[in-house]
Amino acid sequence: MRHVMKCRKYEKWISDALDRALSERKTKILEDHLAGCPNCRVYKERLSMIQHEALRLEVTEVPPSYWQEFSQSLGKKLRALEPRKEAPNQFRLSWKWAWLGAPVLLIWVLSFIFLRDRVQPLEDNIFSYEACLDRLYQAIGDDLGLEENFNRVILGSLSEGLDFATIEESPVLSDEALFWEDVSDEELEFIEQEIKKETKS
Amino acid sequence: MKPKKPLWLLTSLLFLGSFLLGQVPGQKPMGRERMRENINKLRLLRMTEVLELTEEQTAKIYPAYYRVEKEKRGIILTLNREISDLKSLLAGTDAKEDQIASRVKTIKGLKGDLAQKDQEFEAFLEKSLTETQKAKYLIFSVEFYRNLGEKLNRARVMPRDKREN
Amino acid sequence: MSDATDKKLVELAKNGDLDAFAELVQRYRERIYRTIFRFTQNHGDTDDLAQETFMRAFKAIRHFHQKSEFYTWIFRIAVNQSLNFLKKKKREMAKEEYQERRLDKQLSGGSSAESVSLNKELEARLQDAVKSLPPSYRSSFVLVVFQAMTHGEAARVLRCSESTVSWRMHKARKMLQARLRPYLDEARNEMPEI
Repeated sequence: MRHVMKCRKYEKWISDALDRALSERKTKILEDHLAGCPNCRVYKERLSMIQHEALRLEVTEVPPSYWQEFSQSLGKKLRALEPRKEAPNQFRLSWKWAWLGAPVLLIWVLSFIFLRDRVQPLEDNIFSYEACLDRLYQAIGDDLGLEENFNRVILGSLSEGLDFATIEESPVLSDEALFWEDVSDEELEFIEQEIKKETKS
Repeated sequence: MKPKKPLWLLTSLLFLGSFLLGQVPGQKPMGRERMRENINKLRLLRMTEVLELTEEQTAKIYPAYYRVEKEKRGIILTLNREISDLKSLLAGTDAKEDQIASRVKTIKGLKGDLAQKDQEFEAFLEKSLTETQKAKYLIFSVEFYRNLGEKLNRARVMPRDKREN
Repeated sequence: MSDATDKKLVELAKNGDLDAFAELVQRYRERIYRTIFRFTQNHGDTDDLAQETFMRAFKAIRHFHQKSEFYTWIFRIAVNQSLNFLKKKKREMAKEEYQERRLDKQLSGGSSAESVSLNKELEARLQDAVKSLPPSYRSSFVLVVFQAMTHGEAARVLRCSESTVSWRMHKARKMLQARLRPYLDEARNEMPEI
């Protein structure tokens, strides 16, 4: 099973290599794998053929005169979209609104200047996780002691939720770093299904 | 009827996630990264409890969550580098305005990317949760963030370890 | 005008300069045409959609803040137009009927399977298989393979992450490989041994 799952990972790497999106390090690892895996070599050949054939798929070549007609036809349609002479009126209109908006803008700028240093309650950005974490980091700043304490509080909450005594009963996870490096969603789902099967009694 | 989840399954998923996020060869997670990881774990755990996620939902949502977190990590690494470069630029004497503007634009773009990742995950949740769970998620988000604030206040009053910084 | 950067041309076009926009059209019309053709597979629809793409771009250019490159933006419009076209097409006729008609058109030399060379058949099947890809996989495939975009460039056009594009390319190729395996293996067997 592990062998099959490894090959699944390399299939994605083969695809990335075709798009020149594979790092040098992974390319070397892939080459070593291909040297010893006939299935993956065949898969790579098939994908290369698909790539080669796809690039040969014809797009109807249009005669040079087509582009002249294209530009003329498009030009006519674009000119019909004018008059953009209305735009100056809109421009004037928006300047009118801009004068009205100036005091609002001034208040906003002043609020920003005077209030930015105050730490806002975390729930201000209630729907943004990153914004919440940002506030947290700002509040902690460079205070390593506070960071350490906060970590301890979080770990304490974690241990309330998880009984760490059950860790010993959990299945052994692979200790091979590369195995986990690029595990995809599908593969994770597969792992979970296998774990579920093992635990059903 | 509430399906009971084996606790060790949750443990495995959380530890699996740690392996996935922590596998940077040759590096130990820094303090802030560690903190982020722990907050992520806590958030997932609390979310699972509050939303009463089924095993099927857990098996779908956890991997998606870790995938998004992994992508965010990449962005954060780039963001940290950019911020560091900007700081150096500002500290220097010959910083040009358009150079600074360009860096600021990049940083804002990266922050936007981070926010977009959150939205991606939220959209994924939208598809995976029932209406009741969606409502519970909204309330959970508010309360979780408030709870983090309370934890921070608790951490402020705890005695500090006496060590050199 | 032909020396001006895209950025400069966009700024001029925003103020209604048709010549500046015409220069942008000239720079990208062929690539846009080829991209759309990969979806429509015929000149008539491609012509319509290409014109529509540039029309929409012109109408919306005042609101284009140049946070991305112009070509990324125009490609996004083109891909969206193409995908909408496909959805409409799918509603208008049954998908299988559409594919059968395309396949018949490509394979008919008037005669039997023997008269169609192996490569021609593979080409036709590949054409067919690419068309049957789910829209999100097909968009990525068209941009990365046919437009030679990097994963990053395609991601900016499609407004998703690079790893999403990478994943979609992998899935698209897996699907194509599964569908075309008999033809690929036959072609491989016909290849001279090295």
